[in-house]
Formats: sequence, structure tokens, C-alpha cells
Amino acid sequence: MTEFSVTVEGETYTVRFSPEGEAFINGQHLPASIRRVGENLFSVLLEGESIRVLAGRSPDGLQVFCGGSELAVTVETERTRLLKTYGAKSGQASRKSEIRAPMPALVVNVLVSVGDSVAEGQSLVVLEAMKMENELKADFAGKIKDIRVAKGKAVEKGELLLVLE
Amino acid sequence: MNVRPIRKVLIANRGEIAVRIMRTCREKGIRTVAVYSDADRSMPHVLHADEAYNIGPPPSRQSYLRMDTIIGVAQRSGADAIHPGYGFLSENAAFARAVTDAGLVFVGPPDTAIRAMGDKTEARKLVRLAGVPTVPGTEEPLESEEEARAFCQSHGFPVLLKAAAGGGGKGMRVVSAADQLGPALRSAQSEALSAFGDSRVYVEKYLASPRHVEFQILADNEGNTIHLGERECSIQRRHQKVIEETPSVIVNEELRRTMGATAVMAARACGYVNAGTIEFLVDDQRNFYFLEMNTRLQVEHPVTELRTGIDLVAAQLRIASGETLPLTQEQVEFRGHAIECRICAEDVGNNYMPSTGRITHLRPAVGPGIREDRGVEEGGEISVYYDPMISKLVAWAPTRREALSRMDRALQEYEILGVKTNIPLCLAIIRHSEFQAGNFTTHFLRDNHLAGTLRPLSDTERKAVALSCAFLEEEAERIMALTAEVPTDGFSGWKSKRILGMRQ
Repeated sequence: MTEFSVTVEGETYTVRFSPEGEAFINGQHLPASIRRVGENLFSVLLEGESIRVLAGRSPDGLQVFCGGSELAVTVETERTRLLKTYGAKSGQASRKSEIRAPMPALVVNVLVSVGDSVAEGQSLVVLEAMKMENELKADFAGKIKDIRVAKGKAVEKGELLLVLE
Repeated sequence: MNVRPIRKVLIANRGEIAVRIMRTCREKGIRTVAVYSDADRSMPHVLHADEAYNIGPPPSRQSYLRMDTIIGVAQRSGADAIHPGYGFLSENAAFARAVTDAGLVFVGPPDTAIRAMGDKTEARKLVRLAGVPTVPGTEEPLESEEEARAFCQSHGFPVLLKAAAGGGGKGMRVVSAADQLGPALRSAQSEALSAFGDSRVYVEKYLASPRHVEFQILADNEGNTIHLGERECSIQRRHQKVIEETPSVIVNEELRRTMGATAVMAARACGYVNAGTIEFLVDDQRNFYFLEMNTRLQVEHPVTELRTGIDLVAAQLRIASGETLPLTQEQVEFRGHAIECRICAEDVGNNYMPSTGRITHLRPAVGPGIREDRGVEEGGEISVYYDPMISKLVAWAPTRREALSRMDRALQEYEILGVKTNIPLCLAIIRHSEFQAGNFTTHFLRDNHLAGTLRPLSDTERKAVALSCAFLEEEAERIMALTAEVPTDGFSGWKSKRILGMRQ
């Protein structure tokens, strides 16, 4: 039986369900009725209260609402904990030399050319998303090593725009 | 003027406003024609229309801003009028002219009025001559950075840079120090160029703590001009309105009469016909200054509709067909309090970055006193090409206090997943004590820390959330276990990929 470590707004609970569907929180049996009433909607009857929880997956993880608030929730199992341990090994200190698109956008302007020397804080690329312009600036003084995009191009979130060295 | 009945209208827009216009048309027995870009084939405005035609690729410049294409569709479909909605071509005088030159009715003001009010500098000159108070600013669009510097030297910082052709906060920058002036001017010009095809910018004195109060105008071809009261639009972020309400807590009967009469004067000054909005800035002494005129239907028009009972789109269509106003100023009745929240796809916690993606779950608020105008359904895409507004949630109640409670309830009911929205922000504003007391200016969102106003979760709720999320995860684990058992031939490979996609 899988045990889930669920962190809700900083507080962590251990949750498991018995084969009969009974819920246990932190090892204690909880007289709760839990029903999935929609693809992303849960109804929980617990301690005399009827509670509606909206929970779904998004590209950034779980998206959870209750009582009108959006909540930070993470769920860990043995398997995800393992994945995280492996993943951590490949992590490295990142130098922000790769300028990436923080959101899907259109490239309105590229203000530099390959080989240009730029100062810290200098504007490099202008992106337009939903009619608002955003300037991406150099984190440090350096030289433009590579430019991957041109004016007018549509870019995805995280797409490499240019490289600074 | 002769009455020319309108039987079929092309709506040169998309999203909620196109749907909203079509609803009135259907009530009035007017047929509707939608236009759509390649990105919008499945959007509600196409589904609501009697006819729909593709007008090009997703970028607005290649679809919703193509005057010739849109007018061509109107002619081929046999429409006798074009309603521009807001945004896109709504305040483009050349478009209004081209529509009438093509023998069609433009549901909006004459192109001369759009031109007069569209150039913000000329507009201020015009209304000043008519006796309408304005904020000090340059008379002409800036020729150079030096000119801007000279203005700042004589009037002091902060100043506001504004696109001459602008509206909706595009091409607008507040500058509070001399060294920011150059970069701000360049980015305002570039943003104005991309939004309006016109890079001209002017500068004006920036009022330190103003409120934004605007008046709805209706004018017919016989010269009858009335106002339908004010809308309080001070809750803004980067000059984009977030919450609007009517009446404004600072506008009493007497001020409403004075400001309303001034708004009517401003509209008359440009020979205005149809529905329009006069925006004012109001300082802490309740002095008011003409800011600009929006020569179109506003996003926030529903609050006026709920408080006056007047369908503004129906009024626009009547006026456009040559009928006179159905009521006089004295016959306008104000009832209760209305408030609107603009529900937008944005990540408030991450500097309000636009949140694009597919809406995987959507269940809007309904119930007593609630109106919702929306142009996207569950499964619909919030794309990078258009405005991030998902919905306008509007509440009406007899008093402001009751309207706020009703909005609070509706925001709690509203369910949306797939993109991040500003619903928690709207709730935080509605519950903020200063907002509830009516003490706010256009700097409310900049000056207030809002995180603290949301009710903390109870222990029971927290457990319910933990249970629900574990339930959701357990199901995912079960699916993973199932797919691990099937051999990885082509078909199941597709299957497991799909499930992995779910888990991202």
C-alpha cells in the first residue's frame, strides 16, 4: 500500500488508503468520506464539514484550490523521492549565461549582435507576450556568443534566445 | 437622419466582447457574422454566430487588424453593419471611414470623432477649448528626448509618458527620475508602435495619488447627449484595470451632476455620436481632470448596464441605425451597486507573467445577482497572441457592502484549472479593509501587501486537501503500474507517453 507524503502550505501529512478505501492520516484512521465528483473536483466530508477541493495537474505541478485560496501542495511517494535523489546529482550551479524566454512570446526586437560586448543590465531582447513588452537584460557584463532567434519569431517558454559569455 | 434598420452585423472582434455583442443581436433578431483567425476556429464567438469566416493567421496584424479582409467578408456575407467591439480596430478612424465608404454602418462614432479623440494631445486641446479641465502636459507629441527633458524641468517629476494613439495602458510609462527618461521614452515608443502602428508619445504631469473615475456617454445623431453615471476604475496594475464598480464611493449626487455635465461637454466638443467614455483623474480634493475619451464600448460596460438597466450594445445599434436616444438625462435611473472583476490568466506571484495554456477545468460562478461575460470555454486555449482576459465576473446588489459579499462568494465558487489566474488577487482586494472602506487610489495594488487578507485554511480543510491530493496521486500511480505491465510496442508506447504527459 503506497504511502503519500503530502505537504499542504508547509505542513506535511502522511496519507494512505486501505484496500477498502479507508483513509489514514499520520497513521490514524480518519472517518472521512471522500468522493471524486468531477475530473478535478473532490468532495470531502470530514469532522462535520463538507469541503470542496479542486485539484488538477498542470505543467508546473499540482494546482489546488480550497476555500477560495490557491494552495502550494506537493505529493511525494517512495518513487518520487528516489527520482529526486537521482535528479539532484545532475544538478549544477547555473550561471545565467543562457538567456531563455520566461514565457511563450513573440520576439519584438533583438538589440545586440554576435560579438557585441554588453554591460551588466543592458537590454538584450524585447519580448512581447499578450501585448505587453518585456525587456530581457544581461545579468553580467560580457560578450554575445550566440543568438538563436530573430525579430518576429514566436518562442516557447524556456526556449534559448541567446548566449552570453 | 433617416432610420436605416440593421439586420445583419459583422463583429470584428473575438473573445467575450464578440459573444456579448452577439447575445444582444440575437435578442433583437439581428443576424451575426463572426470572423476568426486560425487560432480561434473553436472559440465561443465562432459558435455563437450565425455565420463565421476565417480571416488569416493568429497574429492580430494578419487577421483581426486586417481592415480590407474584414470589410470584404462583411460585403460578401451581406452584413449591413460592423461592430468593432473594443481593442483591435475599434478606435481606428481609417477603419471607421473605410466601413462607411464601403456602404456599411459602423457601430460606433463618426471617424472624425475617433480622430479628434484618438490623438490624445489634440483631444486635450479640443476639450480645454470647450472648458473641460485637463492635467498639464505637452500640447504636441514629443519630437525629441530634449523636449521631454524640458517639460520635466519646468513641471518636475514624476511624469507620465503616453502613446498619442493609445489606450489600455499600452505604450505608457511613469518616469520618476531624469536618468530613466531616455530608456522609458524608447520603450514606450516601441510598445506604441507595435500596439497601434504609431510611435508618437507625449508627456504630462503625473498626479501623485489620483482616482480614476470615468463617465459613460450616449449620444445620438440629433445632438442628444446623456451620461449614464460613473465607473470607479482605480484598482489597476500597470494601468490595466482589474476591478471596476459603480457608483464610486467618492462621487456624491452633486459631483455626479458636475462631472456628468462636463463629460457631456467633452463628448459634444468632438461631435460625438454613439456610446463613449470620458475618463477623469480625481485628486484627493475631488478636483477632476479630463484624461482621455475612449471612443468605443468599454470592457467594464456591464457595471453600468446592471446599475441603469440599459443594454449598451442595444443602444449602440439603435443609434447606429439612426434612431434617437430612447431616454432623456432625467429618465436615467440608478439602482444599487455593481462591481466587476477581470479574471485574467496570469501568474500574480511571478510578477504577473501571462499564464498561457489550455483550460482543463472551468466551472464559472452563477447564482443571484451574478453576471459572467466570457469568451473561452473549458478545453480552450489561452494563447500568446491575444489578451489574457478569461472572463468578466460582475455582481449587482442593492448596496456596496452586499455587492462585495456577493462578489466574494462568486470568486470562491469560480473554478478554473490549467492556467494560473488572478482570482486569489481579486479576493484579496475585495477583502482588504481599505478597499472595503473605499480608501484607495490608482496605487492601491502597488502600495498594499495583499497576501495577508486571505483566510488561513482550517486544520480540517488542510486534511481534506491532503486526502484529495493523495487520492489523485494514487490514481496516477495505479495507471503507471498498469502501463509498466504492457510490452513497449508502438501502440502502448503511445499510451504510456500520453500518461507521462499527464504527469508532467
